[in-house]
Amino acid sequence: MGSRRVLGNDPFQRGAAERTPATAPASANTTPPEASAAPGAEPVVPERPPAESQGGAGKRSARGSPKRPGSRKAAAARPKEAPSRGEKAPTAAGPALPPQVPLSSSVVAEPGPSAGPPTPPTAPGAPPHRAEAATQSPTGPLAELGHTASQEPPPPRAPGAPTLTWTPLPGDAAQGTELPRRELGRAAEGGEVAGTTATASLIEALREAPGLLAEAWSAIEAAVRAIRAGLGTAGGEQLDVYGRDARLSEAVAPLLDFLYSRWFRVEVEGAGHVPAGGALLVANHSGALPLDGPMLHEALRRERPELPEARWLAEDQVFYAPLLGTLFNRLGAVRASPDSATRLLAEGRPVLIFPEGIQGIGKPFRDRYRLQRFGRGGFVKLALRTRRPILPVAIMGAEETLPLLGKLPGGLLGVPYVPVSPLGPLPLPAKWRIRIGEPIQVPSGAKETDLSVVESLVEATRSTIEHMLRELLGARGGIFLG
Amino acid sequence: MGQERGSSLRVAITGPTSEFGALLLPKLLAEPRIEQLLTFGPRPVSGARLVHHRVDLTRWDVESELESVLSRAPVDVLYHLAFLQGRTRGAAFAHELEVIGTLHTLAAAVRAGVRHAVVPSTTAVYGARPGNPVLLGEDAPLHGCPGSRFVTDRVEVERQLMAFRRDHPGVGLTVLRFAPVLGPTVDNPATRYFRRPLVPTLLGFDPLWQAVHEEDARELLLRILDRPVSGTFNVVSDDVLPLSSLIRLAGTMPLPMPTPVARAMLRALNSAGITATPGALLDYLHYSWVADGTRARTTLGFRPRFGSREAAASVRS
Repeated sequence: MGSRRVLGNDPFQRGAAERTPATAPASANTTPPEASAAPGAEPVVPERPPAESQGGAGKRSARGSPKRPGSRKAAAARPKEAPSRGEKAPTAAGPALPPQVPLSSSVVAEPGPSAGPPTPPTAPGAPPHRAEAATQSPTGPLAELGHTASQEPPPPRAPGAPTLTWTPLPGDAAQGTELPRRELGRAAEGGEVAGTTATASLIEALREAPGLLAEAWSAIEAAVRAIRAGLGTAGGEQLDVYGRDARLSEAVAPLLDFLYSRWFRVEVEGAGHVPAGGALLVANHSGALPLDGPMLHEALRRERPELPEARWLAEDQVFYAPLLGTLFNRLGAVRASPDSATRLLAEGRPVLIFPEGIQGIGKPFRDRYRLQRFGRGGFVKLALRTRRPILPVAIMGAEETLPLLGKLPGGLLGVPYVPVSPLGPLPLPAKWRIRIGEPIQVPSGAKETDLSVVESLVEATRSTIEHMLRELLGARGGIFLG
Repeated sequence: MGQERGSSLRVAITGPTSEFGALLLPKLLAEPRIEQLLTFGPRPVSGARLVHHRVDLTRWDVESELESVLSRAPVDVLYHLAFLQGRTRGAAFAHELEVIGTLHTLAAAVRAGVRHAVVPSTTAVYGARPGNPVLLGEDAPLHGCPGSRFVTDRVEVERQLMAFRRDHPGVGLTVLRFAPVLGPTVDNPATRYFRRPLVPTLLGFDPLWQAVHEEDARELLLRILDRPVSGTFNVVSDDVLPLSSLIRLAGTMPLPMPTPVARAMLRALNSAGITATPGALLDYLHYSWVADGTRARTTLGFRPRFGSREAAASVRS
C-alpha cells in the first residue's frame, strides 16, 4: 500500500516536472504533491531496517526530498528559484555570472543528453546509461540486490505490483528521468516502430530538459560559490568552532544534490545501523580527490536527519590543501586529531573516519579497492576511550569517480602532489554504493593501551570493510551503471 | 573583594601610554574606588589622583626605582601593560622592554608587596600551526611563531610569568591572552593589518580567526579590580570567523596571493629593508588558531558585549 503510494508519487512528480518549466507559479503546485507523497512514504519506513538492502533506494528519494526544504524540494521548483537567486546576490555573483554561461551550456548537456545530439565527450557519461538501464541488464547482478531492470517496465502496466516500489535509480524517482524509461518500456511492449519510440523519448527528454537545466545551473552556481569560498575570498559569517559554514553548506546544496543523486546516484544501505549518541564510521578512502567524505556526510544527512550532523575527519594533506581543504572545512571536514574526534563524539555526532588517510587517496588506480594500512589504529583507541561503537563502512564507486592516473609535483601549491585524473578535478559519473555495516562494539573493560585488543579491533574493522567491498563489487553490473 | 575595600584601592600601571594602557587609563581615572593611581612610563600622563613616575623599564636599575615607589604604600593591583605593539625602535629594544622589563617589574612587585598583578598577553603565543586542536585551551603548549620577534618575545614573557607564578604563589597573577583586539582607537598589528586598503591573504586559505572588541578588553581589564582571580585566561569573543570575513567587515578587500609568492615577496622585502614583517607571520594567515574562551567566562564572568564581527566592523573608521 505504502509502496503503491510511492509509485503513485511518480505521476505527481511527472506532472510537476512538466509544469514547473512552463509556469512560474508551478512552485506552488510542486509542494503539495511532495507533501502528499511524504505521508504515503512514511508507512514504509518501519519496514526498512529489516529489508535494509535496496529498500532505502526508492524510499529515500521520497523520504529524502522533504527533508531539506531548500534543496531537493527546490529541485522541482528550481526554475523559480534560479532567478530569485540571481536577484538575491547580484553584487556577489553578478560579475561571476557571464563567464559561466558557456560553461553551463556544455555541462547542462550532460544530464539530458538524450535530449538531442549530445556533445561527443559527454556521450559515454551517465545519462545514456539511464536510458539503457531500462532495457538492458535485466539479468545483471543487480538481481541479487533485490531489484532488476526487468521488473521495471511493468510499472506502467501493472501499477499494483509491490516490486514496483524499487526504483533502481533513487534520484530519478523524484524527477523526470523516469519518463523516458517508461516510454521505452511501453514502446517495446507495443511493438512500436523504433523511430516513434525515439521521438517520444526525445520529446519527453526535451520536456524535462528545462528542469534539469535549472538544476544543473544551480549546481554550477553552487560550484562557483564553493570555489570562491575555497579560494578564501568569500568567507561566511556564521561558522561553528570547527569551521563549518552552515550558510555556505546551504548554498552549495544544489551541487551536492546534483553529485549525490544525479551524478553518482548514491545508494546507501544500513544507515539504520548508526546509533544515536555518537559513533565512529570507519570507511575505505579513495578517489584522487576525496569526495567520499562529503558524500558519506551527505548520505547521513539524508538518511538519518534526526541525528546530530556528522563530521568527517580529513588528513592534514587534504585539510591544508589550498582551496580544497578550505572548502571541505567550511562544509564539515575537521582536521583529523584525537582531540577533535573526542570533542565531536562528546557532542553525540557520528564521526566519519578514513583511517587509510593519504595512503587511501594516493594509491594508483590499479590498486583500487585494495585497502591500505589502517593508520596506527587511532580510531580504535578513540573508540576504546570514548566507548562508542565502530561502524565499518564500504564505499564503492569513489575509486572510479576520480581515478588517480598519476601525480605531478605540487610543491608550488603546497600539496604533496597534484593528482592527475581523466577529467581533471571533475568526477566521472560512477555509480556509488555505500554500505554501513553492523556496529562493532568495543569490549567493555578493554583499555586503549592494550595493543592486542587494538590490533584485533583494527583487523575486525578492516576485514569487515574488505568483505563488504567485495560483496558490493561482486554485485556490481558496471562501473557507471552500478 | 574590591568593593569591600571601598575607595581605598591603590592601583599601579606600567606603560600607561601603551595599547592597553591608553585603553584602560581613562576608565581607571573615572573609577571612584581608586584612591591613588601610580603610573610608570616614558611619557607623562596626568589626571586626578594620578602620580606619574618617569621610568625606563629597560634600565638595569629600574627594579629598585619601581620598588621604592611601589612600597611606599601597599598596591592592590598592578597592571603591567608596558608592551609594544609591533612598530618598534628595534628588535633589541623591544626584547629589553618586554622581556627584561617584565622581569624587573615583577621582581619589584614581589619585593614591594604588590597583591595582584595583571599582565596582558596574546592568543598568538599558541602559534598558528597545522597541528592545532579545534580549540586551544589555556594549557596548550605555547609554540609561538619562531621567526617572529613580536610573538617570540611574548612567549618568553609568558614563560617568565609561569616561573613567577611557581616561585611566588603569594602574589596573585592574572594573565589575559587576548585575541586580536580590534576597535576604533587601538593601534596594534592586527588593526594595522585590517586597515590596509588591500589586505594580503593567502590564496586558497581562509583560517579561522577570533577578535575582541576594545570595549570588551577594557571592561575585562577593569573587572580584575573587582575579581582579582589568579590564572591564565583566553579572552575571545563568542564567534569565530574566517579571515576573509573579518577583512570584509573591516571595510577593506582581501588580496589573495599564492603562498610561495607571498613568502618569497616578504623575504625579498625583508632583505631589502623595506619591511620588517617576518614571513613567519604568514602562518597566522595560513592555519587556524582558535582559542577556547570558556575559562574566562566561567571564572572571571567575562561576557563580551561584542562579537568578532562587531569588533572587525569597528576598525572601519
